[in-house]
Amino acid sequence: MQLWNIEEEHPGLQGSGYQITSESTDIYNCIAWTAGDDTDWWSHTPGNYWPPTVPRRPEVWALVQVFETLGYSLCDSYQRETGYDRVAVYAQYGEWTHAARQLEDGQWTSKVGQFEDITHPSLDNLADEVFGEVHCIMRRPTRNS
Amino acid sequence: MQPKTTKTEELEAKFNELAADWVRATASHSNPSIIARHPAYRQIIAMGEQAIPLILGEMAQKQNRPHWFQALYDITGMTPAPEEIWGKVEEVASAWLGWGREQGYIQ
Repeated sequence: MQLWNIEEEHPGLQGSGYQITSESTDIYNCIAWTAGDDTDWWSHTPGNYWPPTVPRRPEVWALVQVFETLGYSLCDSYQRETGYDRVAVYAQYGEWTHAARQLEDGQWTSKVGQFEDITHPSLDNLADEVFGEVHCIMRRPTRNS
Repeated sequence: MQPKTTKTEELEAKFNELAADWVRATASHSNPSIIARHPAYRQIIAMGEQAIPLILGEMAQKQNRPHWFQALYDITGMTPAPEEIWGKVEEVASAWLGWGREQGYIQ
């Protein structure tokens, strides 16, 4: 059963050229996907993964700390920077709502709730009534595998 | 004369209606604190123990399971999943289903 239409939920995607890049799944969520993990559901409540050193709190500062445990730190620039991995944290009313990771071509990749992964050209595509606004951008030096 | 619906059927119908509302309204979200504020969710939690077998039944559909973990936690005040597996959705779901069978909520 199709429970929703992604463009109705996130009108900023309409005409943006976004692409759906996966099947829907409830195995991982946006936080996990942004952290590079497609095997766990990350959130602060019991039963879900959360880095052990970070308080299990719904406020956006806790999610910022989650990414700090992964080596990210706050930065000012919205532009792609060579040599850095970059993530964006969304928030509304002081609570985290979503996270996205920048790809090498400058687009962003997001896992939307329990549904699909998408690529979207701009962070503004998901800044809306559901996810609120981009709270911050974080970066870390790219790790060569 | 139309057959009377049983209380169980009425409860199940109400649950299904609330669950559909809640899932539809919170489909994009990952933050459980936001999800748990939805009025339909609050009504599901207010059903208490009666909702447990219905929630466990929802888990079999393999959709929305982390949100249902939250509902079960809010009703029971516990999770049967050991912390080492938190985040592993299949394993946590199995723990809840095993707990549900042990407690007699499902077969």
